[in-house]
Amino acid sequence: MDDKLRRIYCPMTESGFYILFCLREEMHGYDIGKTVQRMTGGELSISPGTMYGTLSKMERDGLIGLRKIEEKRKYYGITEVGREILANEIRRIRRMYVNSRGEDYHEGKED
Amino acid sequence: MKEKKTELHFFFLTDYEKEEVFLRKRALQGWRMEKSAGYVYTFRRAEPEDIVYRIDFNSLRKEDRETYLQLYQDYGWTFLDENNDFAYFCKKADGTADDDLDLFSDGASKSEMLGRIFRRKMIPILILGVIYVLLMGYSVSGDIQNGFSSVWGIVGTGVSIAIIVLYVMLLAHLILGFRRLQAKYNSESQG
Repeated sequence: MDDKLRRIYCPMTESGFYILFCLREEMHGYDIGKTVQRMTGGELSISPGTMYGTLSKMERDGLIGLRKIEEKRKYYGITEVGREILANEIRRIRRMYVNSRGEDYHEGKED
Repeated sequence: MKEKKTELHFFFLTDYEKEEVFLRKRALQGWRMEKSAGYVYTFRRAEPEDIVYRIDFNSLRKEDRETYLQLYQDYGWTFLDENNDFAYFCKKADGTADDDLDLFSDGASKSEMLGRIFRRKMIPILILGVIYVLLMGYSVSGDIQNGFSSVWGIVGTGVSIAIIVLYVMLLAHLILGFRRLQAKYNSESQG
């Protein structure tokens, strides 16, 4: 992975992670927001300014791509680079989860 | 009773949070913001209501405007006007959750907006201002050394000095503003 991307996206912000995670499917900004709110039991709300800024930035950095524009809404989807960064982040979250249960983490071991 | 009124307010680049508070106060007094051009605000008479105003900063390309506004509309924000790349939105406060009354949900994105304002608006002010101050300073010191050729020479120098003083005051206000907001957003990020 690009060093510059590593510096920016490892670790990711919470909303960044959820946005990238949702974009494994093609979605537009407001839909991502509603999905994240549902997924997190209402604990995480991503406001439009944060959503717009994060989507623009991720698009510029190549983590997501614009798939189509329908009824004035931009639909994005994750790219290969995005998948790599997401996998990295999930590994990091899993490591913390394993450690939080008092266990040692071993890379590559399924829990 | 007057239907519309205009007001002059000098809100600068780092004053948008104060501006939002001011606009909400006006709405509670029965004046809704309609337009913002330069430092002139146009209000129209309406029922006093608690309305939250939020200001966003984005240097959008023309082709991105439509989708940008649609996103904010999807989130329930009404677009009012755009002034110097600052976009004004509003939403009724009553019956809306606190989470939904902000344009940003974390300190990091507020910080990024501040960075955009700095790069896009502050840097040109600094560059142009420094050039102006150097030129004026040079000609003023020249006048003082060589003596003034007329009363107008003195007046002209006085005006140049006044402009430089005002510019430095504005610069100080902006720099302090950027530092204050950056510190505030950084502490929100660690939450």
